[in-house]
Amino acid sequence: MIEFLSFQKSYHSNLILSIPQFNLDSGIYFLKGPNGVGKTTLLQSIAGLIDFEGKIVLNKNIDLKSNPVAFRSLVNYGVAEPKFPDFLTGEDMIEIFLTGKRGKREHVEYLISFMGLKSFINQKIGEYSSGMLKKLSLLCAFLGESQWILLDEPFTTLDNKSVEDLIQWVLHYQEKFGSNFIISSHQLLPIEIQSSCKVIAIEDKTLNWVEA
Amino acid sequence: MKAGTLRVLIRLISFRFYKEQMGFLLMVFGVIFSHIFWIKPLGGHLNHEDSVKFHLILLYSFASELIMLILFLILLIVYAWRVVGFMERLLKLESNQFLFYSINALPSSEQIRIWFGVFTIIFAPAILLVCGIFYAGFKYGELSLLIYYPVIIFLICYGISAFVVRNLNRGSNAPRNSLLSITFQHIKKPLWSIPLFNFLFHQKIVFLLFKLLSIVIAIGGVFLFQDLNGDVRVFQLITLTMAMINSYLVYTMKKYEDEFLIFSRNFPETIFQIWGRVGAKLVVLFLPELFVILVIFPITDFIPLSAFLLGIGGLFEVLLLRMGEIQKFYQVIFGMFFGAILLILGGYGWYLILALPISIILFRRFYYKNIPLE
Repeated sequence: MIEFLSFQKSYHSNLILSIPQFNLDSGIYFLKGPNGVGKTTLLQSIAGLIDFEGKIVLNKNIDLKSNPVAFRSLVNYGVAEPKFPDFLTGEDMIEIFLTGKRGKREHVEYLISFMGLKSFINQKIGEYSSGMLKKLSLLCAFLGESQWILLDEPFTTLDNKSVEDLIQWVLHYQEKFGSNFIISSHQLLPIEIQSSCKVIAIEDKTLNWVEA
Repeated sequence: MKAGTLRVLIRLISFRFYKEQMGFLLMVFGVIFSHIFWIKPLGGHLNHEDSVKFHLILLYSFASELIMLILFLILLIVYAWRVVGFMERLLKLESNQFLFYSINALPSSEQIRIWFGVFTIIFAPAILLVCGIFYAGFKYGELSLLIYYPVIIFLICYGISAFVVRNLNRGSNAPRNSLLSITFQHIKKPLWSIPLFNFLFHQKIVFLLFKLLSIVIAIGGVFLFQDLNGDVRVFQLITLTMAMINSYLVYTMKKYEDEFLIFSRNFPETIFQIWGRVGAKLVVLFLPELFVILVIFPITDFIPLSAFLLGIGGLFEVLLLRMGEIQKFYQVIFGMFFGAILLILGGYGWYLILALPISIILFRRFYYKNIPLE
């Protein structure tokens, strides 16, 4: 469970988000809202990428601020518009994520072929198309022993087949490993995953439940 | 087709180069021309005919020395480096993306010929100089060594043309497959080393210039203050200056981390691991300076001066976590610089070693409160 307590995030004293209290139990969540409403800011705060006021607590006792290592080992993040060093190869990035997230190599080969990255994995990232880069970023988000995987706009720049594959992979991962997901998008979710999702939205700078 | 394309590219690239790089051109060729053509021999007492003759002899005398040939080669390499940097910048512009799907429809040999024409115009000052050398060689000497001058220009123009053609045919975003990148391709690159590899792959010249400046200042400082030989304040001042020169490189690394390695803040690293990463990065960054300290200062001062250098580097890292923009960063470090100079001159320089533990403590406090650089 992820719990927000007196959560606030401002940029240059301009309040972007204010969540007095909100709980997310296990499951797959679709975080919706138009551009610029604060979806990425919220996900980056949960992932520990940016500072904020208040608390985010995992499983009732792992506070992001007072227990940053334990929290980060249980939460992964896939960025909306990945930017990786162009002189590294896909394999280099996987190695960095495996080391950083203390992941095991056993699923990597499967993930590589699943994402269709096999023939690109030893190429430099500067030679990747935006779709390939997105797939690499999504692959990296699945590495490690995380309980929560935050996917920021995961379907943009992916082709239809890749979107379908990713949905299957999310459902499979949740069923097999019990992973929980927060998937943000400013568009409607693909129909295949809608029935498995609980929907939350950022409205009036706070988080609300939305009837599916 | 070819003549028309060449005309467009000369207007788009060659003329633009002259417009943008006038300062650099004046610096490089202005110095040469002013020394060879505009000095007044014998105090200006020669008549016009004798003066021209004297200049040509002077030019020939310079050009027929092997050392001048080597200097000419170095000069053209620097010039070519500048041209390549200019081309890379130009090819990234949105307005020039048409080059990636227009000229490369031609056969490679024809593309190289067109670009050769473009770069011949860009190298016109060097070609003009070589024409003068040949004229003088025909008139007053012989051509044996002089023949290498046009060969150097031809090879450099041809090399840059081939380089541009290869990049254009590989696509706009493809990184260069240089000898350097091939050499380092299979070396494992841990997270801490990536901003340093970025210098190697993308900002070699900037990195080398700052390192050169830092080392020249250290050696120059030792010569300048040789009368005060043994005064530890001189060592401290030189170390402080070397650290300050490196502030821009530390800033560049932080900016790169904020843009390309932001994902690493999601890694479950202990504060000791994070310190280890930053420490390893700073030690490698300061390796040339540490070597200079080891070689030119007394060996007994090596450890305290190294701690001093790394401590100031660590303070830069902490400041960059909170500053958010380069102007604020430099305002603070200039204040730090003058404060540190006063401490050193007052004989309290060794207190600056405290920068090391202070930076470690502050880094722990601010690491997760990072304000990304704009």
